[in-house]
Amino acid sequence: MSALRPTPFHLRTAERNARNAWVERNGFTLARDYGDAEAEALAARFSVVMADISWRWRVMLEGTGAPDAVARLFTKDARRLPAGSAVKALWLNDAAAVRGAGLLARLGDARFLLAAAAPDRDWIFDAAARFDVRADDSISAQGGVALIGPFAGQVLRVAGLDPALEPLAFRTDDWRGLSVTLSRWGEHGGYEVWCEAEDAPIVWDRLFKAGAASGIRTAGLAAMDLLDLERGVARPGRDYRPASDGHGAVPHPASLSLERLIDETHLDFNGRAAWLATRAKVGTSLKGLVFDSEIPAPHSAVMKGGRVVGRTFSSVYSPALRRAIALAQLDERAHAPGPSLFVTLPMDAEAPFERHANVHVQDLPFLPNPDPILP
Amino acid sequence: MVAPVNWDAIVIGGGASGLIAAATLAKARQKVLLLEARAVFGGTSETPASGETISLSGLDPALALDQHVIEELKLSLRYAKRDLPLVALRPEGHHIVVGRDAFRTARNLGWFSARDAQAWPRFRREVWALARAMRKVWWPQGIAPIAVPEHDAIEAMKYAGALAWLGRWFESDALKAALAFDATEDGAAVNAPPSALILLWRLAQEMSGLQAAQSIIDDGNGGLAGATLRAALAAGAELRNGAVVTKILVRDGRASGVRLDSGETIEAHLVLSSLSRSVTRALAPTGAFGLSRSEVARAPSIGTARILLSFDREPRFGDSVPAAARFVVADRVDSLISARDAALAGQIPDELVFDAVPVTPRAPTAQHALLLRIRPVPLAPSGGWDAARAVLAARAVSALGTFDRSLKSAVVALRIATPEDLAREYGKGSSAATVERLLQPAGARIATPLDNLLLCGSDAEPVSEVAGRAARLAARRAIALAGAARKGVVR
Repeated sequence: MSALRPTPFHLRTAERNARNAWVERNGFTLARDYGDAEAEALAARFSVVMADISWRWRVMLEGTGAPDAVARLFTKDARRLPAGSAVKALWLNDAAAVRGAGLLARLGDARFLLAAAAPDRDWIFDAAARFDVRADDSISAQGGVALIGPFAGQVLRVAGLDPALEPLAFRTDDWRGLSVTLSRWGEHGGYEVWCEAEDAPIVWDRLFKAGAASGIRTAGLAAMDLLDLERGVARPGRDYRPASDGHGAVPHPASLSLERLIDETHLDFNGRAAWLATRAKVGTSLKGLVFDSEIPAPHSAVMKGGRVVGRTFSSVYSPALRRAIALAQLDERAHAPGPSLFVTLPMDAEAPFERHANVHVQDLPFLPNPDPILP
Repeated sequence: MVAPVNWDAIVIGGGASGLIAAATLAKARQKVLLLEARAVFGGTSETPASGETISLSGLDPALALDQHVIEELKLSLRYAKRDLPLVALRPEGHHIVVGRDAFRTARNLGWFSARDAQAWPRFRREVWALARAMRKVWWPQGIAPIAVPEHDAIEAMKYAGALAWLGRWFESDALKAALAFDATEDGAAVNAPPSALILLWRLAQEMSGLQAAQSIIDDGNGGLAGATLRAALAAGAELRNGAVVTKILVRDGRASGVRLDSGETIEAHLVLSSLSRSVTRALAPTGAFGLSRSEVARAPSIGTARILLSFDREPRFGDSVPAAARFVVADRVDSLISARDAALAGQIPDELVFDAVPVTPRAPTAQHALLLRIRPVPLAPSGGWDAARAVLAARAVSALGTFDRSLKSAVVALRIATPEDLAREYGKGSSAATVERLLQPAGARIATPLDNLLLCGSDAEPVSEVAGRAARLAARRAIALAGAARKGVVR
């Protein structure tokens, strides 16, 4: 097993991680929370939080064949993207199963950046090599922080960075001597600041100082996952196991309700024929479940009468909804009239017996993203 | 130069399979253009004339030609020999003769093992019945369920090497070695799957109305290549030679035509390729066949060398053996295994394993000739084929001399075709034998990720033999696709 790596912000996150609560993602050591994950998630809705997102996998695709390579790899046609813009897309195996989901940004005529929640090095690098495209994920060693909340733009302005940026756009600025890239690629309507590893502590300090007046606080991975869940975002690795071979047919994009990330008018993407052949045959879809309980039930069977009609993915207590919620993959029987759905809650010391909680199906997302309250 | 779309279908490759596909399409009133890279048609089935660089595989006995193809295309094939018995040549002089008469064969086997003699009639009855049942899978005539006992037998064979499977029936090393030689096609190993299934596939075939027969096609009128060429021309297919396809064009996720080395672009509604899956894949744009690395199982770097030996007298292997037979030289089970190990290591095996069939002599002074198929040999021997040719020839002649001591002095001509010659001449790159390839439905073997690009060559058969089934099936599928397109059915 390879050793865990600290992120470029580790010195700063360690200072604030008073409970010494660490978790691992993509090989990085990350603060699980800074004392209270639920308070951190609420702060993202009412003020502003800063979170270390250096764990996200980033790979640069460069070469004259790069436009053709990304057109073949991804479910949206990045060849049409102007430089300086980005698109969210999937990459599928030959049988149209989801191998990954991510954001593809065009940096230049023959230069693209893929950012994803989970790495798929073999597939992406192998595909790139076929098109004589150089793939390089050493950029993943750079640091990145996300600013999320209604005051995120205000924090940037105070810090001296212009927050005027459309969603999915990005630009590189000289920020008082530091080269940083400011982007709006996240799922939660905030901003991301990307910087060289050695500049990371300075970036962290500058942003934290600028956010003091807005009540900025740090958010750990648990709070970020909670926000993901409230936003209805299923993540590979955390919620579902992405396809790991070339021909497996699961997970199907429709079963994860990821159709919006597929552009059927894009004729060249890998797995298109299989997608067209199978898209109407998938009987399951991704839905939200709100529990009649405050106790989450991750990765549990969803029952209707005596039948299993689905399963939950991640499940958490949502402080904003004051209910436990879960992402769930439900089959068609779950939506038919009949008895209400329920899940079995995990046993704990207080309730060492089997308990059921009724659950209500809800379209995703559970909650909208926080809007900036200042222009 | 871009020509308008005026072809219903393009067939790439003018070997027997490509010609069968083109003839079947043309008979259904499709406008079909067949493109052959070489100057002559027939591919590896071409009948060799004296002095030509040629693979010699056109002289191979036919063992799997589809009767439907022969009847539908009215192929005028004449057989010089309908059913070659198998004769395993033994150094001690008691040769094994495996013929169509099960009881005569059993009597012959009695010299080696009483148990094998007893087992042979039952083997013939039960295994041949199992092989016939498997035609439902291997002969694409609709999907019929396999009965449970047969299904269980096939399940067991999926995981068996030919030796282990034969070992359940026979005890004599000599018989197992002789029978297992046929399981070494497509680089398969006799002690590993799917060699047992390859044997069963061969037993399921039918030639000239006889199950598991191997026939010599009389090549006086061009053999199989000539017959298929005449059928394609008669049906109205247009044939072009010297047309090297450099690219299969893909537009909107569908094959739209081909580009030739001359730069000419030819468009068509359908493309059929008689080349192997890997070569076809390489002709298509990068990624058009998907991005998975595992799609084409890579064949091991071993192949078959052919030697045409011409004699001024008839080879005499003994009074008890028929003159027209398929002579197998595989002394022991270990000979097969060690020959493969040597070939994989880039060496010409010390002890060659081969079969030899009598063919029409090519050399002017020769009265008799044998075609030797030596398998396995390395695709690229260490030191190169220039040096290895002489070694191979010397060892082959010496091995035959064990059974006919004065045969060496009767040799008047010798021609060798190495796997390298075959690859240079025909660009072969056949897929490896795998359980998946042997058991997948016929429709999947001819399909590619592009709807209107179909495979029709011997690579799309369960075992790389010229059968014409893939060609016929691909042509029929193409006709159905064309019919659907005319009715406006969007696929």
